Amino acid sequence: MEYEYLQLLHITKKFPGVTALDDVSVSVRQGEIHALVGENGAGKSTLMNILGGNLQPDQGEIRLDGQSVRITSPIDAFQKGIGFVHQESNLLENLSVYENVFLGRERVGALGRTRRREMCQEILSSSQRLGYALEPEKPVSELNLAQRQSVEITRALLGKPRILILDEPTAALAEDEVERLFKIVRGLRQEGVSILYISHRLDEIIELADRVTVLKDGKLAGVLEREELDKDKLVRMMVGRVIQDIYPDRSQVQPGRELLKVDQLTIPGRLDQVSFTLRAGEIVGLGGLEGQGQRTVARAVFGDLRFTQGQITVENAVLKSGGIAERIRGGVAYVTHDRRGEGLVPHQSIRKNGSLATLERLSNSIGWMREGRERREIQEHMDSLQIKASSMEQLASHLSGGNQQKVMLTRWLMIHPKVLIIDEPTKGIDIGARMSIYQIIHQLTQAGIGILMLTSDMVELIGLSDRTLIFYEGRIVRELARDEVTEERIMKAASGITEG
Amino acid sequence: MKQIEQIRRKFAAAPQLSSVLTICGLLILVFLSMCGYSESYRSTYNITNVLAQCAPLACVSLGQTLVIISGGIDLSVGSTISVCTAIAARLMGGDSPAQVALGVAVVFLFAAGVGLVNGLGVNYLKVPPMITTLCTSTILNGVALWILPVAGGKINAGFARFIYKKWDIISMPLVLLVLLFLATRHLLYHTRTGTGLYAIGRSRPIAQSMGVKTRAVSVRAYVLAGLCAGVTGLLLACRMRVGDPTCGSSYGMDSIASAVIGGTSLAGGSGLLSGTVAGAFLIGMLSNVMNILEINQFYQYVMKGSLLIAAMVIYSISGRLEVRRRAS
Amino acid sequence: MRHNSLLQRAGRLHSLQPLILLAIILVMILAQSILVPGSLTLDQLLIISRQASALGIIALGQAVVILVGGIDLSVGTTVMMVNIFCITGMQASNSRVPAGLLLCLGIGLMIGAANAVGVLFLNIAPFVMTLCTTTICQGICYVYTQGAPTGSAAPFIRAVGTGRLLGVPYSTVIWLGLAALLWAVLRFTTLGRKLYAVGGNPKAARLSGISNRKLIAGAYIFSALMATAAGLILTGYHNIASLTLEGDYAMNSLAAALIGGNAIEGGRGGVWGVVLGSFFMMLLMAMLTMLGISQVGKLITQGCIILAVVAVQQLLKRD
Repeated sequence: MEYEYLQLLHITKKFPGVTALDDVSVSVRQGEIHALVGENGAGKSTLMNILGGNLQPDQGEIRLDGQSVRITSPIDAFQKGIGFVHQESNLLENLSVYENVFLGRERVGALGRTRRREMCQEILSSSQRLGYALEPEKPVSELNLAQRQSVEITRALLGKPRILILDEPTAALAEDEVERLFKIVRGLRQEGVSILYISHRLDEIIELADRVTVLKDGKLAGVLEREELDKDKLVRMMVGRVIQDIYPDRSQVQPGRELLKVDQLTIPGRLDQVSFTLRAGEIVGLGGLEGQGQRTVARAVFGDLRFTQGQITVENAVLKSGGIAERIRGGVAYVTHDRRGEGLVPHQSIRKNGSLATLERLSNSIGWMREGRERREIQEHMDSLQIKASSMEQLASHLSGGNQQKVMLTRWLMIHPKVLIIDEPTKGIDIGARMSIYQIIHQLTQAGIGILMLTSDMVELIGLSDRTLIFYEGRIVRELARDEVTEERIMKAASGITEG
Repeated sequence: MKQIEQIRRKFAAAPQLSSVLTICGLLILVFLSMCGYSESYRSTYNITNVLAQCAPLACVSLGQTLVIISGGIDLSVGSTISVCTAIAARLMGGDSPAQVALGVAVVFLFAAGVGLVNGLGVNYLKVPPMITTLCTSTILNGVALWILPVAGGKINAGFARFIYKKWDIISMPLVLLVLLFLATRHLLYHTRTGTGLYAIGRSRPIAQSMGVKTRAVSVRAYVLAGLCAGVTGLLLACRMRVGDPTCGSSYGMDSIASAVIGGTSLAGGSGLLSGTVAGAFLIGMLSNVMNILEINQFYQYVMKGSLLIAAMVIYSISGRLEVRRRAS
Repeated sequence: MRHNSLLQRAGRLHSLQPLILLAIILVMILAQSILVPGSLTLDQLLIISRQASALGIIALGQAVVILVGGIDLSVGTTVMMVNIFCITGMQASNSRVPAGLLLCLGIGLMIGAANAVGVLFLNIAPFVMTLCTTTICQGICYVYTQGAPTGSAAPFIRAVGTGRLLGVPYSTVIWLGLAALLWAVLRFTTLGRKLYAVGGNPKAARLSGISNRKLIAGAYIFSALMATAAGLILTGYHNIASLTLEGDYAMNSLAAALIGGNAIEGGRGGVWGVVLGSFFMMLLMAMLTMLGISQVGKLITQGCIILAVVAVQQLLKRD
């Protein structure tokens, strides 16, 4: 038995309304690549935030090198030898590479003068050792995503960590960049660093991991050794039921008339001649690596972005460039991926959040609100979507993620949409609520609404879409029908590799 | 070649640098045209005077720049200046050097104390910087009137002469400004605190997660702003030889204007000290020019407000162009 | 569950702020009538309400600007400018009142529009932009009057500033009328819903098809018009043109709005809290005067009160 350097024992963490982690234990051996897998909402990010010092567990114990420790802050984690490479770039764009790498622990000389040259030298040598080139004095704002990740890794390695956490490191990387990352990770394993690797992509994990811990619904579903690794087995453990149980059966869906037609849509530098259609009762999934143009298309269709060339047609009516209000009147709705940031008005009630896009319809000609009608309609939606709240006057900020998402759906269903764009439908939502949201989406298509879905969760993309469009560098590079979609094909297309 | 490459890099790293050069060009333009226009303007005496007159605003603006870079704002520097002149006028009238030294010490202690209160209010009470400093500003206005109900008091003449000593074109205020500039420059560009200021100005949560002691760094910025206001207060007191409980009122706005004209972004996270000094001199020189041209002094209000708006418009347009250039 | 109820209690406390304020006002009145027996009569209260009405009207505008997430520091100067141009425009004659009123209305619209353009189209931070308009308007007033304004108000304006309706000063009636109107708009109309949404989460409002820019521009213009109305009332009351009339209206209106329960970051607050807040500020000033405390004490009290109120709000907000 190899030495287990890090042990997380019986960790429990509760949030209002949800138990994010329930008695989860994970142990990581010295010098192994340990993968952590699970669906959205399985508790991976909560566990990582506990390990990274951003959250405190309600119960349980963390042992490092046999010693029980409390990790009070990100800095504390760093000092205890836990390096963290975040999924979303966690760098300061206005500073240069070396300043970012050394921020908070600069090398200083006499009079508190920072030793710039020494720091730059250190970065050059460590980045060469790992096999990539960084220019220490370049501002981070000029780096691409892969380079930014190198900066984060360099920063994490600076503290000579014994454990390195990589949170979805390949979400924004193309295939060759992924290869280079794997080489680095394997090199670190050679040096005796334990790697905790979190990813959605099972193929990657099977290629890389020495052991895999599977989380499901905030509980430990099992641990697999390298020789036991098998994709179907992993999926079964992650999902805990057959995929068919989670995702509604859409094999019998017959799309109706054409609702949305996007023709040669072009925004210089962001979108290049994107064309596709969406039919009534159909779910079209937009996939690909992060930031390849999926969201840009969605925002352009919703009138949030101006486009220079191309045409968007909803039910044979050509839409002009710009103008969200006009789109809403035309029956286009957009459920944002960032509920807190640009979806909900946190200090207002479910009722007021729900009716925000339909104020004109719910008022008389001088703008006086018809509150009775408003209450009635909101109540209907709350019942049909099964929003769990004490009343419709409860504040949106006090709801769980799933219920917040349902409030967002309420707002958009109130406009009686024809085309519903859903951006990351289940981000930050636990499994129970997820299934009910999938059911809602399914029912909406049965009512004749066309749904455009954006998601970074591959399983979700495959499970829900009737057709999948893969984006790469602002273009649609592949269209996959329900019966030909596989994870491998999506990955290939998303990395810009064309198949015969 | 290597040097050229280095310079090019420096420009790429700090787009504000070109704006600093533009302002310097503007300064020289104003200066030369005035020299051509007026005989008396050309005299060494006048040039020395103009430079010395600009120094107080430049000093307080340096501190303001630190605060703005850290993502805050200090509207209380003007009132701090007023109180400092009032304290100076009360304490530094005597002849003994000890009394003068005591006065200087009290002024700086008080100024640092104001900065500390601002910093604590912003960082620990979590009151937005604008509200915190607006409140301390109001309180300090009261304090100034309490110490010195009307302009008056006295500053030790020897000390005042020493502070305004002149050698040809160089004057003591200018020397003090250069010293203060070098000190803040060292702090901002070559210490951990400096990097921390830029970091928290861009994003507090990220800076914190990366190990910057955000509160401590931010408090330091406000204390330094207070101290810079203290320097300005002493300079003004020595110039007037009396204290004035309202003399600083325009400096809050003017110091923000200097920083913004010099390319510091009010959003925080970017800015250069040299730009601020150039901005302060531009404002100072334009006021001086208006005096010489005998334009109604009240137009100075209009001039400053318009200048600030113009600067912000120009920077916001050039910023947008920069973004567009990068995108394509 | 416990967590939840705590949160809700904190939220409720926030909306209770106007009631707490009302209680404090009553205690203050009681204390005064005990400390200085006989000093407090109904008439006395009405006089305070007249003094409070100018501030109260300005604070209504300020509250709307704060509600949409901005701040307006130019209200004081607007009052001053209206005062000066109202007096020179009307030349103390009733026949020129309509022209003078139009002039003042134009000034208010101009200042509000300037603020809105700066904030929305030039992307200048609200307080800097309004500070700039303040400076520029001050300059204009000084230049226009050469530093020594003269003249007196037209009889009609004087009547508005000093007259009474059934014993209640006209200005108080105007103040409360405007407050009731604003309350109805905020509470019952789509406009009110939109204003709250824009302040509470501007991005969410935009993605719901609400035109943020129009609403924010409207808020600044409304605030400037309220300041204009207050300027006319003050002109009538003081009957002089003065370069010091702006007083501390920017600070005091901010204080009144914040004390009344409006959140500085926008999206929360009501009208009656602001009304009470204005009354409270004036009552406080009146009591300080009565207790023989000078300008110094007033400034210090004012600063401390705003700081304390916002600090408490921020403490309650922390989860």
